[in-house]
Amino acid sequence: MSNESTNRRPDTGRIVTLVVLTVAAFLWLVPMLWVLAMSLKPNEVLMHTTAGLLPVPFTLDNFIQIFDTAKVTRWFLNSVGVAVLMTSITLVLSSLGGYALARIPFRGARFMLIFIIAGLTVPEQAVFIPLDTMFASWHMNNTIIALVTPRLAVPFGVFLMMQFFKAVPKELEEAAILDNASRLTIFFKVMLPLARPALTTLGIFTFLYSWNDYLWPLVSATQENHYTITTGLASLQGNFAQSEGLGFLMATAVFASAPVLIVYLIFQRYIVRGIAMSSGK
Amino acid sequence: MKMKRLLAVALTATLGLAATAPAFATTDITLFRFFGSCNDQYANVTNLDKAVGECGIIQVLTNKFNAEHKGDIAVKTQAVDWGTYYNRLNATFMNRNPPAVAVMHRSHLADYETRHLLTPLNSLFTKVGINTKDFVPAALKSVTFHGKIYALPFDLHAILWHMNTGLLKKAGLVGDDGQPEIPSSVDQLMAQAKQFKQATGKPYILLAGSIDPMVTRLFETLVWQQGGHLIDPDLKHANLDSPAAHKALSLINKLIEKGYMAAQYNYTDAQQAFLDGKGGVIINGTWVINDYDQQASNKASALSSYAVSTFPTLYSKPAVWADGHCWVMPRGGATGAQRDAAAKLLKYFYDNDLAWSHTGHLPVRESVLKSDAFRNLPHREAILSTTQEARGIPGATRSQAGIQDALNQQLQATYLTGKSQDAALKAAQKRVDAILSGRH
Amino acid sequence: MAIDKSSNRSAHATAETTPRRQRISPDTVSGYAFLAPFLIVYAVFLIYPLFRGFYLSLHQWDLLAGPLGWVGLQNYSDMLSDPAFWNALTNTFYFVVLTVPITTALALALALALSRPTRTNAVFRAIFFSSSIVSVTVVTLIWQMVLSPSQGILAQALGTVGIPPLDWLNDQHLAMLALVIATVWWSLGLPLMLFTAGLQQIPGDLYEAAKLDNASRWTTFRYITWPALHRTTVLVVLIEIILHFQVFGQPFLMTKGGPAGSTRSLVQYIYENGFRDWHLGYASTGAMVLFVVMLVASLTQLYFSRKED
Repeated sequence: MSNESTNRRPDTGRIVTLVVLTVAAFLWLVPMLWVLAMSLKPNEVLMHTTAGLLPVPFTLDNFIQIFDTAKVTRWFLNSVGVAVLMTSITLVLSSLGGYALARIPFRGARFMLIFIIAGLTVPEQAVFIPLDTMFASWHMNNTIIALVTPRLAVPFGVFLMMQFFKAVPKELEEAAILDNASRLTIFFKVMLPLARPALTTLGIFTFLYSWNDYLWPLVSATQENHYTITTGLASLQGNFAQSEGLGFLMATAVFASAPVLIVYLIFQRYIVRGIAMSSGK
Repeated sequence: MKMKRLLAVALTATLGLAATAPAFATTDITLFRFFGSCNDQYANVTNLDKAVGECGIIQVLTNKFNAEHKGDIAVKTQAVDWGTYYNRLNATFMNRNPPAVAVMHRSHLADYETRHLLTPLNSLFTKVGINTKDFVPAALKSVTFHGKIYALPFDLHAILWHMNTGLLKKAGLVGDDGQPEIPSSVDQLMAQAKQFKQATGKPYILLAGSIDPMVTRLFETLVWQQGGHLIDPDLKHANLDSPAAHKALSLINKLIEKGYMAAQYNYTDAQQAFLDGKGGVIINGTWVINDYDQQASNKASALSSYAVSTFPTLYSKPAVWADGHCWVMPRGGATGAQRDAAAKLLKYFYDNDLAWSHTGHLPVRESVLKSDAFRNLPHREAILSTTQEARGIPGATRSQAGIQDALNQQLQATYLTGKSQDAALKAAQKRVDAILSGRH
Repeated sequence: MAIDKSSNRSAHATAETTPRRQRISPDTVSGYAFLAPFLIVYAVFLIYPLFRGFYLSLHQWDLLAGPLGWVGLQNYSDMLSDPAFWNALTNTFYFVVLTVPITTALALALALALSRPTRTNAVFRAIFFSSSIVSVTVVTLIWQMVLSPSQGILAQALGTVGIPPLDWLNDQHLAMLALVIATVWWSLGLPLMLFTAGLQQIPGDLYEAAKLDNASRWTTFRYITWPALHRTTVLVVLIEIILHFQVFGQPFLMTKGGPAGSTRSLVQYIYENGFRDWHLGYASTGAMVLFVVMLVASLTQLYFSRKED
């Protein structure tokens, strides 16, 4: 599609598109820029007016207040822990399982495939009640294990990795099989290195998903020091009279979003490639 | 390597000892509550004069208790946002680690008492010297089930008639004695509203009626003032398709249709509208008196002068929607020494009922209600009769949160979506009956 | 669990190479071994809870008091005559029906506009995706503020051109629309990426041929791009349906399900039945209905997409 670069004549259509896109992108960003601006303004000013996309007058007080507020930092670290754990375990389980379904001709593979794909239709919100009673009977609510494990069971990752491994040319593997390498060796030495883009995509989505999960942490982590940043922020919003600490509230929102934004900016160029490679042509 | 490990072991041992040593003497108890989270803001503050609002006062009280019992009892606060408070409290029961002490609304007690989740407190009260005779009878009754006391009453809160007297004056609704006119019948209310609207072009009354349950509170008040009731005494059926209910709802709709009452606000916006002088009166709870008073001290604000009164009696019987906060000890929460520690905390709350009434909530102890210290607080004299008029759904009714929500949804539908009043009340009747049946 | 055990057993069998079990190939062993870690988690934390949820739904089951008795399908028949259930279901459908087409169309349009692999387009894509990374609590906070008639930036902007502010979240006609707007803003990223990836896989020579034929842009889209994106579109719509049927945070945090219950979603109905009203059995019934409705919706969508093929 890059062949159009031969076309040197100024294209009015393209310029109009560019202008429309620029305006749209700006409007798209306005809510976030506005929140950022508010987070950098003093509360007293915000009580008077919330207008303006520039942080004038400027203050860092709201962010300083976050670090003085031990619990916000705590929730943040909880979220990091849950997200990292969930992401890494999901990657392991999904790539192992996806590889088996894609490449190992085992007995009952077809049944297993159907059994697992069927799980894609089970909405997580449909099982949160039995999950909660299960963890309660094990005395395991308010633990990181309770926050992580139910989300490992979602078959999306296995499905994604299976699609990816299916698309890998057979020849790459066959050479290794002829060398009498074990499945485990093939998996680690041949397949996994190839899977980096797919793993990155899955990793990003799992991380984002974990970071933003709301209902399950709301139900499972009921003690303040076990909140994730998502449920913690909701509780702050519920606790604050808005006019009092608007700047602080906005600062916590920025603080909660910054790390995922960074993760995203680092890895975003892999996303499309990963999806393209996993969608199995 | 070996050296490092040895060092590590030694270090943990020392630290471990240091950490466990005082734990021998100190009893930790968990205090589970809403009222907001402000332990950072009030870290180590023990001076009650410095505390503002519900959160400030309860936090400073806790700090003070901890300071006074240093080395003996340590209260650990779990502050939960109020929207999910009861869900989280239920979770502590599910996980079998309920807190030693928890706050609760009177209206929620039946849910817990009927499931045997609360500790009876009679003997503990005697032990720590809480005199139950000092409680306002209605308050004591609200925490008593089958002759046993299951909670420490802490306050009474009700809806009030908060007035922007500056605006009322403009509309000629302030008498020569400087007292604002308060309606004492429906006709008077309508006449005043008309007069106010003509003079100022603004609605007479503001109500947080789009999402929050304020309209339900108003509706219930109006039904009770006619001598009606909402739940049959046997607690098996609702009585929402009654003449009194129809009359109450049609008054609400009439006020809105004529532009006398603006109800399309959520809580924050209604509050803001009142502070911005967009209406003469706001129907809101006891808990905002201090905020409004403080706002009115700023002469530049749109709420330049403020007064408040008990909710006006518009029909034959004085009555007003009310609820109350109380403290319970969940079963299985406090064990051994924790029980005594928790009881001491309850006694402390009992002793500080006056301090708590600075929030605007009404105290539940006769001695405090009669005290000059309380009566000299601003506006308290004007709302004192609320304690006599307070009403609620029968205390033994379960699932009151669900009932309130069902009612709220139907009442709102009449003025937000134009649902007919008859259909709304019939739907509410059906839904509340289903809730009362206990199946769902 | 059962599957895991059998895989262990077969592992034993091959190790000892007992003649009776010789038909189990090494591939079968490694297949199950590779699959086992996921299968265990999957069975314990997804499949078992699903059946347990069904079991709960056949009981009157109190949140804290536990089972109060077997009621068979009573909960289901109660639910079918419960107006609150129908209200929640209708609201959820309404939300899905608005959100899914808007998101899909917008994502496709943007993906097409940004399909050329230039640096500028990558920046644009990053911008449109960036709103997807914030959590639901931040999204709701942002949009509550943006839409506020007194403090909101939308009211401020419209005010400068003399348009009076709308009270989005307190108006029963606008509240759902407001939730849809916030949701589209929040969830556009994934479909945009999926469409972009789909576009990249369309062989360039197809377009070359179209160009030689002097095909118009529309013709090119209609006869090359759109058919080639068919699978992607099905995937996007399916993901969106599954995602948005489970809507909870946006209405729960922005409108609490109001005004007058007009935004209460099915998941909120389940949550409140269980955790506010103590009826776990009845709440589980709602969860089962959610499962079935989504299953039917997904299968219908798949069926029609197959038919078109």
